[in-house]
Amino acid sequence: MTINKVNTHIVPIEFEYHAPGSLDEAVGLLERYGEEAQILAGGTDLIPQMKQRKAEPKHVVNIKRIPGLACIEETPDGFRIGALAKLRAVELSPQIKEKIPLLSEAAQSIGSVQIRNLGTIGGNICNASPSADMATPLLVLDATVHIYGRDGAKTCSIAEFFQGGGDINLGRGEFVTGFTVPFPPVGAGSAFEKVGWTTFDIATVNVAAVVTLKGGKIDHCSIALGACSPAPVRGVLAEAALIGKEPSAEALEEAVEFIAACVEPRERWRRAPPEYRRRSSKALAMDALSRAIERARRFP
Amino acid sequence: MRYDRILEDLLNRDDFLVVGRSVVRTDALDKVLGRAKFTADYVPRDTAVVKVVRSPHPHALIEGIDIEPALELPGVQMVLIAADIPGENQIGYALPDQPFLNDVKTRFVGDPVALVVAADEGSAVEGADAVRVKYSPLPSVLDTVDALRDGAPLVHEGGNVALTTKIRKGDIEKGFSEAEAVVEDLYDTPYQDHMYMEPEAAYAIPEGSGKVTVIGGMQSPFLVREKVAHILGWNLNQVRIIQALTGGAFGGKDDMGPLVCAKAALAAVKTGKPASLIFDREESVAYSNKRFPARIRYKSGADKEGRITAIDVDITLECGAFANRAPFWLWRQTAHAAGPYEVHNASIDGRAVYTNKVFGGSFRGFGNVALHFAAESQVDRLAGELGMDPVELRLRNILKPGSRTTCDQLLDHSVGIEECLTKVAEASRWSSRKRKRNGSKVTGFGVSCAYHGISTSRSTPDWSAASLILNQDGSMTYRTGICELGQGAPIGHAKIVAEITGAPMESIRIEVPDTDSTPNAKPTHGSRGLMLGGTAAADAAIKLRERMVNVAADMLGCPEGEVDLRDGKASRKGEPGETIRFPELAEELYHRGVSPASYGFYAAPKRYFDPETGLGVNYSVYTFAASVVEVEVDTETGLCEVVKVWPAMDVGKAIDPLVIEGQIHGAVSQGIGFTIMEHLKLRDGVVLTPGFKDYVVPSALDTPEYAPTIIVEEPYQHSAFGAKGVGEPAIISIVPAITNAIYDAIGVRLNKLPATAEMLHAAMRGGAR
Ligand SMILES: Cc1cc2nc3c(=O)[nH]c(=O)nc-3n(C[C@H](O)[C@H](O)[C@H](O)COP(=O)(O)OP(=O)(O)OC[C@H]3O[C@@H](n4cnc5c(N)ncnc54)[C@H](O)[C@@H]3O)c2cc1C
Repeated sequence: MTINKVNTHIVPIEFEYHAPGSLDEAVGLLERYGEEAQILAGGTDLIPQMKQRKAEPKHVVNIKRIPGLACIEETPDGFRIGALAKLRAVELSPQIKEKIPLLSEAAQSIGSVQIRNLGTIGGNICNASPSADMATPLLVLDATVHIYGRDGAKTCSIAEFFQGGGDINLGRGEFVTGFTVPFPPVGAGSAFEKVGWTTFDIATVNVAAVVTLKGGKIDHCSIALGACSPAPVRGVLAEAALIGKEPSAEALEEAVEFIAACVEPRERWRRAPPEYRRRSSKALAMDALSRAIERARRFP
Repeated sequence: MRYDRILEDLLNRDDFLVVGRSVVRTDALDKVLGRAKFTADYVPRDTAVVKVVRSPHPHALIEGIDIEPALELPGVQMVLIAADIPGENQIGYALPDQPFLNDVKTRFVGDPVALVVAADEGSAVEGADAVRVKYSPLPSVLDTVDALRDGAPLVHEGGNVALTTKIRKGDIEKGFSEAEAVVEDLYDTPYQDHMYMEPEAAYAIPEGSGKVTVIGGMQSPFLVREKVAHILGWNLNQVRIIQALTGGAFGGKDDMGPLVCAKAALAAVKTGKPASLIFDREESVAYSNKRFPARIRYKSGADKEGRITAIDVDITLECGAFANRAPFWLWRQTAHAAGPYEVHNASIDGRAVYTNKVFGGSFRGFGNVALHFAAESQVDRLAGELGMDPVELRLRNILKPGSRTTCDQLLDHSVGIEECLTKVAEASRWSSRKRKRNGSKVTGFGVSCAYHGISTSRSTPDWSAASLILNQDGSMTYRTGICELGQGAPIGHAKIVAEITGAPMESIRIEVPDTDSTPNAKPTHGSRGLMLGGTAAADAAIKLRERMVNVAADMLGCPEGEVDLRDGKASRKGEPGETIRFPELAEELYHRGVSPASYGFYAAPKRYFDPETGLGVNYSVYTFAASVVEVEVDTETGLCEVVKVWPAMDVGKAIDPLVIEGQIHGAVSQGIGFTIMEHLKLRDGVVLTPGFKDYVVPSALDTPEYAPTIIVEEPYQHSAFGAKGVGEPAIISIVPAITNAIYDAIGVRLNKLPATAEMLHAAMRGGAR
């Protein structure tokens, strides 16, 4: 039992603030301070954590002065989205809306406009919350994470990036510079679904799905679930159950039965009991797949 | 004076100048621009900070308090305990059961034991941690069922039942024997936190010897003055209380104002230096008063025609650690038990029970939210049993002029509930409503009525005062003890003053309530701020008007009856050519020695009830409301969305339609929160959800679509222009309308709130009902 006597409108800890102007300067600081350092992007996750003493970094490294990290660029392989791209920018980008509407839909579901104006896509992923709303779209689209460290730039697949239990695949001194998000297959339909306590709330469950049809059968299917396991996960068994099938109600019912086997909700997560998460992840998967199929059907 | 006739009888006008019109509030700009001053804005840098040392146990004896370790810390200036209180160590509202600082035992997690006064926030926190209190934990009672068991641990000597209430009317056995359908159920409503944007705050300044000024958030400056004086052992005139603009209150600050202000005052007087106490959100949610939880067993019967023949109601109210307002709250529930319907046979029993949890207290709706949740669910169930439309059954029982209430009070006028109900039914096309299914989502419609006796419960004497000064330049200074809490009641007073005196709104300045200069208007609670306070304003304005008219008539050379006051000018009716501007008129009053100041006083008609039967005249007048609600429930996730609300209210007279709409829209959100979202979780008496993250309230995006507000005006003869209160009545009908709509959608009735997604999900699958 603790009685919080700390006034929450102040950050009750002391820390040193750094604002590096280049990637290498940032790496230098992160290497020097290691565990004691934490990156500051939009701060919408980090600052509340510091106020509640859930994060107590001795060094805060603001990366917003490093140029070029907020880009949203179309390339032949898909979109290159900088770690510092605001959620609001992802939501509103006309190119993203046209080519990968799933990203825009997921971004739009996050918090309020004010939060999206501050929060970044990099922060959303690197905060490593199982309920991060950008994680499931990046998973179903097989995005690549761009990482910068002492040895320069490298990449890692998004699936390998999440390690569960709040861990991400970054070594000492490393940080994320952006993502490459491949275009979905031609003719794909996609959908993002989420439930929370209120409209502004973080998800108690979220689901992203991408489907293509060929000759009336499901040709490609990817589905990912958030807030149901220690890290966002792909519903691989459900995907396998659908590929090659006609998208009938029965086939979908059968496939979502596998969802329960893909997720591992934890008892101690306070927002909803595991049973509720299991059942509603199934229901949401059904909704997301149905909507994605519906949209794929509209493709001539 | 029949105040509903002021327009014709006194003003001799056909139409209103400002009353009844939506005007831009004179305080709007300051609030929007962040210039309005709230308590914390008054606190200078480097003011000493007060922190409360609180019990970590739900129930424990105090064996010793060692303050030395705290005093050794740099920055800590003083630590105050019970022995340091110069006055009486008692701050209970209705019963003397609440020590100000505990030295014998603590009764809930958060019960105050000591105050640390320190130079800054950090030192105060460290100081509070350093105070060593030796506790010997006692067995605790954490729900009313346990508290009522034989041999249960006692929260207070004298038993766990703080008080009881009852009403006996007619013959319920006969009534039930005439019933065609009888339904009975148990209804549980939980704690609700007020979640006002501004947490509790006070700033106290010692003024030489024997005087202290306290600036704080509150709803009743004169109650705060009384409690602060009581703790200090001083006379009332040694304490000056100033109510700063208060950032939301909803009843919470009626109870918390005295508790917080007295702590800051004690620290300031003891140290001889200014001191501030500002709660953080966690303190506010975990330790401040909440809506009292209630469990209501409700049995009711109706005959073939749908007439309700009898009700048998049993109410158990959970006080938490102290009775606080429970006597008033429980009596209100008892006295309103039938809902806005005429029922001749009624038996109602209530008891308020102590537990070792955070104490309940005032909250918008004051008992009527829980009561109507039960009563209006029952009415719907009776309609279901009889195969009758729920609106139709309500109409067959509804209160009308000439009807008698639950406690046999004759309602001779100002009863507009029938019109409210028929109009919302029409507006929502109730009779042709259709349940729609869209994938896993189903819509449903629900209806509910409500009534709420205006002002204080238990027939306590009720009056209000105000003062008005016409300054030499023609501007006016208006003073009322009614507080601005965001709701705009004082602005309503100003409109009444403007209407009666003809002064432009911008020329009337409303002073902040200050017990050294403001007349006592009694509390801003019970939806009385506009009705009682505004009628005192009308009285002051009428008195001043008479003098202004008298002097103006002389100046214009016309009979008094022909003087028209408007737009800051006096003129002869029908001859707007010759005018006297108010600065000139004011000068003349001063010059002639005609008093430019007036004191308004208004006492509500007397009320009484028989303690044996509970029958009598319980409230001088009632406000009525009806709502229709459309919900959409996702049968897969249990998520419920309130899609649209059709509100109607009989307000007597709308002084400002926009303000009424504001109250209704705000209340709808608060009602949605209470019904389907907000969930204060406790374990072993510890509040587990002390903040906006875990205790979720509806956001702007959870706001439903509103149909235009239907305003019914059945004027009340004894209040300014006939206006009745609207703040509380606005929330009451929303809650059962939502649950009735959920039932309509999915056939599930959750009698235990909140009906969160998770609970609805479980209930639909045959789990907890
Ligand atoms: C009211 C409110 C509502 C919210 N609603 C939602 C919601 O609906 N859905 C949702 O998913 N989230 C929600 N959030 C959480 C948050 O806003 C998002 O996760 C946001 O994207 C975080 O981005 P940021 O830039 O603010 O991160 P920051 O707080 O700056 O950083 C978050 C974490 O990531 C690390 N980090 C940031 N950038 C990098 C980088 N480039 N490389 C390595 N590490 C990095 C930081 O050190 C920190 O640990 C909400 C937050 C609030 C306050």
